[in-house]
This record gives sequence, C-alpha cells and structure tokens, in this order.
Amino acid sequence: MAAPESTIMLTSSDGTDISVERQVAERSILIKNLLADLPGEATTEAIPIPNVNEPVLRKVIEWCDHHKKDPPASAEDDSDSRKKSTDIDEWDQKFMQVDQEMLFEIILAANYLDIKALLDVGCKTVANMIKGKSPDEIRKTFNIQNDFTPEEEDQIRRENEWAEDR
Amino acid sequence: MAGLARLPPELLLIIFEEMPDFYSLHALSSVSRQISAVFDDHAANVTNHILSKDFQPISQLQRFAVDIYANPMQWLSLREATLFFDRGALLPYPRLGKTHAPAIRRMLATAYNIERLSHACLRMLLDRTNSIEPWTLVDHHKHVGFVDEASLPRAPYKIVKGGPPTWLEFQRVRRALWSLQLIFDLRIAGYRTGWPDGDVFGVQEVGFRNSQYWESDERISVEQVLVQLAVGSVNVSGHVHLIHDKGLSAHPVQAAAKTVPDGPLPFPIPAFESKSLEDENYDNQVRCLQIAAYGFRFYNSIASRWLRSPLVNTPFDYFRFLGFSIWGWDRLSLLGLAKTSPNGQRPTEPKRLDNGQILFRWRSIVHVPSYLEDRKPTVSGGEAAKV
Repeated sequence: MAAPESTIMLTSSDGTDISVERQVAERSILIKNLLADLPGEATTEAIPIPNVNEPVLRKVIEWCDHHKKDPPASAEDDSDSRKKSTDIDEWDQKFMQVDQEMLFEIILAANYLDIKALLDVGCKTVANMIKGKSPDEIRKTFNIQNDFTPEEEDQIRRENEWAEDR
Repeated sequence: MAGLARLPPELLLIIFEEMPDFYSLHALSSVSRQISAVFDDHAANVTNHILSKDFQPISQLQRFAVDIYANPMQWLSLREATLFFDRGALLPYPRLGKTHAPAIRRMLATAYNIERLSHACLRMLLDRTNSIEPWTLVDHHKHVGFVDEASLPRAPYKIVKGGPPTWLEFQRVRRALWSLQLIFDLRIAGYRTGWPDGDVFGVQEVGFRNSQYWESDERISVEQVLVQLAVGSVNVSGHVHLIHDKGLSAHPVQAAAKTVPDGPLPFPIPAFESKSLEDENYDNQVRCLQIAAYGFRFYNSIASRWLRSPLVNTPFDYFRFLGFSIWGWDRLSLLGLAKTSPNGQRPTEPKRLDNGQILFRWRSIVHVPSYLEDRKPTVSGGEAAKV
C-alpha cells in the first residue's frame, strides 16, 4: 500500500500498516537514515519495523508526534542533560503512565529505532521508580526473582557488614 | 515479556547512570545476578558518572572511601593520607577508573548504610526538634525566640510541623556520618598497610578533627543520635566523643546501622535543583536551604562564622534548628538533646505538657533587641559562653 508523499507507511512486527507523517517518523534516526538512503520512489513503500508490535509502535508514534517540533539534540546536549536530573516533562510523565510491560517495550523500541530523547525519558522513568527503594522493594516492584546463590548472598551480606570483618 | 531483568546490558547501563544517588545505585546493583554482573563490569564508569552529579564535598568523601577500601591502600603513612585528602578538592581523581570493583562495591555498601542511618538520625532529630517549634507565638509577637523558665507556655502557642529535612540538613548529617565512618576505616586500613602505631591510633586526633572539611559540632550531634540508636548493642558508656576510643572494637556507626531496619526510608531521597551560582543572589533562606549550589556557599559561610547567622535580617532562631543552631554543644544541652553540659551545668530537662507533648526549655543566644529591630544579630564570644 502506497502512502502520500508527506507521509510514510510503517509496518509493525504483527503486520499492521500505520501511516505516519514523515517529519514525525524522522524523530527516529533509524528511519531517517533509512529514508535518506532510499531512492525517491521507494519511500512510498511500507517500511517494516520487525522488532516493534502495533500497540507499542502507535505509542512511540504518539510520542514522536508530540515532540515533532523539538530541536534535534546535539551530542553535547545529550551528555549534559543526563548529568542534571531525573526531571521529566509533565506531558512525558503522563505519557509514561503505562503498565510495566509497555514501559519496557517502549524503551526497547526507542533503543531499536534510535530515538534518544524517548529512550532517556523511559530510562528516567524507571530510575524514578527505583529511587530510594531497597533491593527487596525493587524486586517486588519489578517482579524480579532473587537468583543469587546462598554463597553470593553471603558475599553481599559481608560487603554490607562494613569494616568489622576485615 | 519485557521487564527490567530482561533489558540488554547497554540499556541497564543507562538506567544505572540515571540513578540519583549511591543508595539507589547499591540497591539496584544488588537485585539479581545479571544486574549485579552488568554493574561490576562498568562499576568505575557508573560511579564516576554519579559522582559527577553529586554535591562536591560529599563526592570527595566518597572518593576518599574508594581509596581507603583499595587493597592495598596507596598511602604509606597518615601524613600521605592527610595530604591527599587536604588536596582532594583540587584533584581530578583519575585513579577511580583503575579501581577494582570490590573497592567500589564496599564504598557503595557504605553509602547505602550511611543513607539509612542519615534518615534515622534526621528522623530522630526532627521528631525532637518538632516538639521545640511550638514556641511560635500565635499573635506573631516579636519576642519569639526568648523563652525561659519564667515564661513557660501560657496559651496561646501552636504546633508548627517542621516538614521534611532540608538539603542542608541532609548534607550535614551525611557528612558527619561519612567522617565518623572513614576515620574508623582509615585506622583499620592503616593498620593493615603497616602504618606506624602512632599513625594508626592518631588518625582521629591528627588529621581530621580540625580539618576545614569536617565540622566537629555536627559530628558531636550525630554521635549523640548514634549513641541512642545503638543503646544496648554497643558499650558507649555515655561517651560523647566516641571516636576517641583507642581500641579497634565495634564502631558506633556500624553498631547503630544494625539497629536500623532495612526498608522504606522515612523521607524521600532529596533531588535538589542544581543551579549556577552566577545567575541569582544566594542570600535567600529558601534557596540556601534547598538548592545545592547556594547551599554550598551558605555552608561555607556558617562554617566560618560560628554562632552567627549568615543571612541578613535572619537571626538564628527564626531558622529550623537542625540547619543551624542545634549543632552547638551548648544549644544541644539547652534543648535537652545532650545528656550533660561540658561546663558542668545541670542537664536541661524537657517539660511535659498535660496533653503529652514534650517541650524543651530554650533560651535564645541573641539579644531580644536584635529581634525587635529585625537586624542581623551580633553575638560576642562572651555572650555565647554564657549560654
């Protein structure tokens, strides 16, 4: 199925075609580079996104659409913004209010599609969920099994006993 | 199904670098084998990244800890360690990248426990100081701050909740705990490295008590709390200067940490705004208490002007106690937080009201006219000594 010139078509991993403004899709460096490499007539063909299913792709597109006018981040901005804080823009906070599976799917998709700003927002969201929690609380929050062997647990416990066993 | 434990290492690494503090970093790195292995592979880089976000003097203490925990420790004498520490603020610490994961792990575990203890100390101190704040007059009379036996509460007074600790209060407690912990650790590491006996036992007296980086009054206050936390688990015999003990027995910081249950922290970990010092005037109470950059200059100003409020038009006693005046020994005694006064005065007993609230007798060190004129107070050494 061909798309109008200002839009492109993306095909999710589960075979759904989604029409997207080219400017929106180009928030993804992967897609932007792909489009730049394709000859003109080929850009009307649907681009397969094999690692991202339809619900996640639509969510990523929603984010890209909201941020389509943001200036592209320079390498300098990127390193600086990481340093500063775990602050997340209000709209992004609401956007990230999804179940955990979707949150991590968005992070994986942002990484695959090379959308650094979205990846940062996703990772900061996870960091905020971890902040101030003990290891046990983190395990409970993210449903992670404690897979340390008794010997490893003992090692960790000894690390936490500070100086008195040295 | 996607989840934290299934993220590839390069994404876990980004999340590690997003951790705001070492408490959270240690907790995350201890969650599972895979996550722990990813951390160990990149421990130095991740630690450097988080140190770069941290308040500078605390970063310095934490880096110092990594050097103490390195095996073998690089300093061959107390003099070398002291020289290094005193120059620390100017050094880029390139060696952190070469440090083995176990030393960084131990520093992280220490940071984790110190954060738990900091919260416990702050909770205990705030619980007690909140019971002092009722001395705010409902009619906003100017005599606030001067209350003694003769003018014990005659209604109306109201309770004012102090709220969560400020940035400054967190920093002072953390710094005090780090200094207590590192002095003990340095003694052990020095002993293992083969320092002369005089150096090992002289650590706390020679190098650090008078250091410009560590304030003894805040350490004394924290020691007081540690004694209370550790009651029953360490033989402190009511000592105040615990680190003067010559033996290498159980350290009060560790003993107190064992009494703090591992669970949710009582206060959220503060994430304070980082601002340039250039853009605004820092002489502002809220900014000084809450914002790291302003707080740092503010901290220096209170450290160098003992017993004087550094803020124009803001006498001591309008402030939250923990940030300022509570740290002086005499004031601790007056507030009922210290068991005995060093100059032999009788302990100050708190007053229990009929409704169960406990109030402490409190006398301002500032002349009443200073309050009435609402100007910057000046307190001479003689007046301070009378308190």
